[in-house]
Amino acid sequence: MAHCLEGKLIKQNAIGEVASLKGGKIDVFIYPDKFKFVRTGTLLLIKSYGVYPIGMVLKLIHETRTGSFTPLGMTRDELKRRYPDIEDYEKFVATLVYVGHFDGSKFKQFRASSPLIHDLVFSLDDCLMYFIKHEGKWNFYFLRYFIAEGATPFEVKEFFLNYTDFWKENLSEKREILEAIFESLSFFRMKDIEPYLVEIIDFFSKL
Amino acid sequence: MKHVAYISEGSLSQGVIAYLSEDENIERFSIGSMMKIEGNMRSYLAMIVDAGIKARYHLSMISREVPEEFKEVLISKFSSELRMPWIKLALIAQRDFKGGEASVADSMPSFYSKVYDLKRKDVKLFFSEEDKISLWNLGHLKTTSIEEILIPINIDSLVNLHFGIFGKTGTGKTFLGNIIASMILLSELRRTEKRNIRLLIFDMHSEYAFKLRKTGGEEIAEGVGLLFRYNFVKYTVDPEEARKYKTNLLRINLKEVSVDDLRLVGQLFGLTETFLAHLGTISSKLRRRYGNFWFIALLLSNQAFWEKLENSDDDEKKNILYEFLSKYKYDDWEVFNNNFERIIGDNTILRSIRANVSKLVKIADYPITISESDVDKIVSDLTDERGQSVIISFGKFDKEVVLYLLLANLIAKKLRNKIMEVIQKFGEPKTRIIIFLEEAHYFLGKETYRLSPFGEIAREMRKRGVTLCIIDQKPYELDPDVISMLWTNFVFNLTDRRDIEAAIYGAPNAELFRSMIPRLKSREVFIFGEAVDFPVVLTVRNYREFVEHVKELLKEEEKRLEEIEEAIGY
Repeated sequence: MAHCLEGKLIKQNAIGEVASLKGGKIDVFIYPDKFKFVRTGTLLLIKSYGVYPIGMVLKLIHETRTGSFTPLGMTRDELKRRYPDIEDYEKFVATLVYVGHFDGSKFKQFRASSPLIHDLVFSLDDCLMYFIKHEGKWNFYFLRYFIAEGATPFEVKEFFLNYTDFWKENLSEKREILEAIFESLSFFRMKDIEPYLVEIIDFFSKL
Repeated sequence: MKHVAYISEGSLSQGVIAYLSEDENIERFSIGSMMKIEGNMRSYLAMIVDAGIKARYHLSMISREVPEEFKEVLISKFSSELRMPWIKLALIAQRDFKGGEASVADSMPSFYSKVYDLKRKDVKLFFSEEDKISLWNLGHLKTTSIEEILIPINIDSLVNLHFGIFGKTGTGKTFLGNIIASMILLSELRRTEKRNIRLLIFDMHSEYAFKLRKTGGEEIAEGVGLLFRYNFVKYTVDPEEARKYKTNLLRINLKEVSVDDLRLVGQLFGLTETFLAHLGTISSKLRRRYGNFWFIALLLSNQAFWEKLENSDDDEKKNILYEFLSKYKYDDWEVFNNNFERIIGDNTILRSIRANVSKLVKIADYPITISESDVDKIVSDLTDERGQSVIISFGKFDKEVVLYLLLANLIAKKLRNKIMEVIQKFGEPKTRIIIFLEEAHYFLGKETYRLSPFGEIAREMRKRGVTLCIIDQKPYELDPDVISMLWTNFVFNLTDRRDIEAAIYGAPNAELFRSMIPRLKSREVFIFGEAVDFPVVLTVRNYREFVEHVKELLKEEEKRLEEIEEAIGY
């Protein structure tokens, strides 16, 4: 077990659990109190049976469980006071793109076996470095999965924005990071790559 | 050996596209360079005819305001996506791995065949090697490797069939002409069975007879006339040059100028169509009274011409006038003119004569005579077994196209007649003559080809041992029949599309080479036809070095002959 995960994959730390799975996309039910920590572009780890799939948030969905909606005209505080159990009637779902896995000792940027429904989901924030830098070399190949499943240039940019502090800490390696990003994207041979590059360059030029 | 590209698409007729390997630099692949392709069953020889960069996509942001640090990384990381450098290759020759002779490419290398820089050992599989008898190294093969590889031309094939040298001014036509002329003579010298080769060189700029010059005028080295001084009789039409180099002065015998000769130069003189149409009648009328002095009489009908002869420092010119006056008993121009007008007897024709003969007055400035000219001696030298080659230099008259035309036509006419005379007596010409004809379009142009004796030589005389070396900077102006008679073409840089098309007419898949011709550098020449194994672009040998090489060979030859003479006790 990587030391960044040591003792952290306990159910108390889980932020949600797998609700459904289709192709390369995994829908995760996010526990309501954790919903505010999950953003587009966030990396999450799923504790599955013998493998730890890693997903990247593509979409966030918040809707009623019944499918019907009635306007109430109240502030969030008023609402909580009036209906303390209101969140039991709501659904907090994050659609993840399966972008890599942790095999118990190393992080890999390719997919392994699929997770199962109700597998617990954890934050990967503390392990970000281990996921995207192997043996001193930056690697962003996981972005290929994210883009292939429909991530727009803005959603890719949000990944970088979410971890702004992390990039700032590694600013001395900006050139190496950029080289690795561009190399991963060029390998992908996308047709409309330019908007992605524009957003990434915009992010790093303002860092 | 590492491959530099791989075949991706294309065809035998349209050329094949090869994409360069990642680490190759497109700037290394010059048009005209030869490459080797290794197919599955055969090796191919191919020539680069185009090159370019194809982009899978375009990053417009690179040309915009992107900070330099990002731009640099972007270009380096997306290089294989942003640029896919390719070369287009014309398939020239092929050779089976199993062995056998190399032949003209008639098959296409397999998909993903590898392309290599051409090495000397590869070249040996496709090209002959110099033997210093028939095969003479003409220049370095254009390749992408650093090896200098000399390629020979076959002089025997060259001299048996008409050939052409084309290119703009300053591209190297005259250097090549001198080199080829030297090789022909060396080849003759070194073979045991002589073919009695004679060269007739019309040397407009005195660069065959004497020394070759750079465009600025600086002398570079001896021309073929100086290198092989004992093989040539040299003539010049420039009296100063004749004095300076102790060379024979060649004059035009005005008694030998025919109506056809005048029609050929009519346009250059600005003679009107009406006058040229009347010329037959004028000639007939004047001949009745003046015999073969008819043209002199016509010229003298212009008083300015008369006065030019009368006041000339040249006794030969004065003599034309005095002999005419004495022969026909005239005292002055007035008397002659009255008689002339009476002979012509038609006012319309007379008006035409007055308007046109004034344009012919400059003939008085040319070296002219009515005595027996050296033209007969020239013809005899060219056709006699014991004769010599001939160079006619134009000295200060190098821009006088009319003089050149008149003289060349007179010689060609007499040469043709002499050969026909031999043939009609069921004989065979004793010599093989190669005529180097500069500015050939004046003789073999669309309008002159049927009139000029050179046209007849081109059409009829090849089988009788007369070959033309057509040298021109405007091949488009040559008659298409002439172009199609050429068996070897040497094509230097040309820019006019029509000239290029005429010059490469007959090359296999000629359209593939069209864009290459305007990009040839000075001394680079595209050669195709009988005298080379396969079409090639060569950088013609450095002329100075070639001259030194010829001198060494001539010394060797001299020594060899001395040894033979000694051995037989001569």
